[in-house]
Amino acid sequence: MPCLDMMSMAFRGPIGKGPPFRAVRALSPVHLSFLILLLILIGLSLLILFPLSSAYSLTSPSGVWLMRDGQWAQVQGSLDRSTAKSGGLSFRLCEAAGGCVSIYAPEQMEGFSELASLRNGQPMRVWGEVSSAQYGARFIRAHRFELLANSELNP
Amino acid sequence: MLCIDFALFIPVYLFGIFASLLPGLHPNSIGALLNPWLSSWPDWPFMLVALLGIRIALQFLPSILVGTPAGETGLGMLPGARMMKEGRGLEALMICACAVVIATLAALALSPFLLPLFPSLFMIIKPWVGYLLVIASAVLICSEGEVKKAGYALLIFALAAALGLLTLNLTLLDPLFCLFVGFFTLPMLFSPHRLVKPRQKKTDSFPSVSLSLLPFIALGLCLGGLSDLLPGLSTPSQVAAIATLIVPLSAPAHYLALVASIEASHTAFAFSSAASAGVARVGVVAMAEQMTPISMQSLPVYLGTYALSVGIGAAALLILGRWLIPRWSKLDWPALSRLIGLYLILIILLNDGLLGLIVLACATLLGLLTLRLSVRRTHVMGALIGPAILNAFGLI
Repeated sequence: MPCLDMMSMAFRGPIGKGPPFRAVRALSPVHLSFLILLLILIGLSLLILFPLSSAYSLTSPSGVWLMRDGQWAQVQGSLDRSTAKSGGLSFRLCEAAGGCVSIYAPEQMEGFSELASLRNGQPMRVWGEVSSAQYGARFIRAHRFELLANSELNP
Repeated sequence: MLCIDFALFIPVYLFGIFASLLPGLHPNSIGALLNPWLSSWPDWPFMLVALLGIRIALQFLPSILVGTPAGETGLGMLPGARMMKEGRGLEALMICACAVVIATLAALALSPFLLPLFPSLFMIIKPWVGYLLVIASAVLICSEGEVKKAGYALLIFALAAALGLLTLNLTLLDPLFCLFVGFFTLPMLFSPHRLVKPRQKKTDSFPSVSLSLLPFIALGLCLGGLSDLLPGLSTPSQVAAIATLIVPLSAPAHYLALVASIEASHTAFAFSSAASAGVARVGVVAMAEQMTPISMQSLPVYLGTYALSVGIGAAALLILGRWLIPRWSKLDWPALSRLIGLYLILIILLNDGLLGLIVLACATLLGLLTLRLSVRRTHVMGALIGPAILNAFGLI
């Protein structure tokens, strides 16, 4: 209610006039304040339920270093040096300019078996969550991946 | 994390409010200017959407005050400036805010249900669009009454259609801005006898808005959705121009509600259209899509950012308008007009260079010609309806 009071005062609308459930014949500044508040609340609710970091941000392997932990990212590059880890596979994804990022793909990930058989240099796109290892290095915990043709890989 | 997210919006909203008050400084231009530096910032696409949301609501303030083109349709200035001249500036603001807020709420709620319906609806209308436009244009021209005036109206319509066809095929950043500033704003600013000090009705509050506007807001909602999904039909500006055939400009409140609703819903539907069909027909949405793809997962984030920004923009529109409009008539209008005219010419030069200025000059001549011949200025809508007719018959 204080919020409504403030908005209504700003618009100098007649708050609290008449019985609350009379038939609406026109949209008064008070009605509009309610609608604006409703729109703002819907927007805030969506952003609380789906924070900015929940969308996959398109970035480069070296750009992952600028991202926050927990943010979702989409990167593309060439596969380099894969290593089997407990419960999954770790590999590096490198861009043409030389920047690389470590990717961790858990066994449960769709297409994991195909990933394990890929050769170095295979262009691919990876979607996942940015995380930090114990010693501070950034890596991406992969959600899914897509293999690309060489021509699809942007320099 | 959440606090960081919301704190980021505050400077963006302040900048957005400032930028939205300057005609011609569209988020498309801001995005094109800042993308090289900020595109690697993961939150930048959402900040661009925030700027767009603020502008969707706030763009109507300069449009009502000085009659500059607003938004994708560019047409809000016609009824807005007219109401301002009649001393109904606050009512015009109230109508814009209501239409933008209601249309955004409705578009958010209806997107999942309406999107699958539009293509089938279009398939029914498509074969008849060209004929309907020709008949409606003929009615518009003949409505001048006298044969001589109808002849003048036809001349203006044909010249505008030719100019529109040429301009829309040029590689200009904002062709509609050049056209509409020329058609409407400059002739008004530089015709001394038309400069009326818009003294406002004495009132200490915003007037209530009649519910009779709701059908026009609903129509705008449908047209905004159609312009998003049906590239064959037209852009929002063409849709709004065609709507002048159904909703006459002589009913400024109705037309203002319609245009504001088209603006807000067209952008809201653009996100859903990008997520479902991969087609983003709003510049900023397309830019954001390239940085953070609009998928079913990121759609709520985009829609949340947009809804929040439109709400804040609408509140800013009312608060700033409430302060500005009563003071507007006290300004030195001839000097202000010259300054605004100079600013508009400069922004067109900056955006579109010499080519933009040539389009502006041609459009201004046509705008002045309508005043000279004393025919309705609606006929310059031929600039958009003409290409839409040719498009409908597959001639372009």
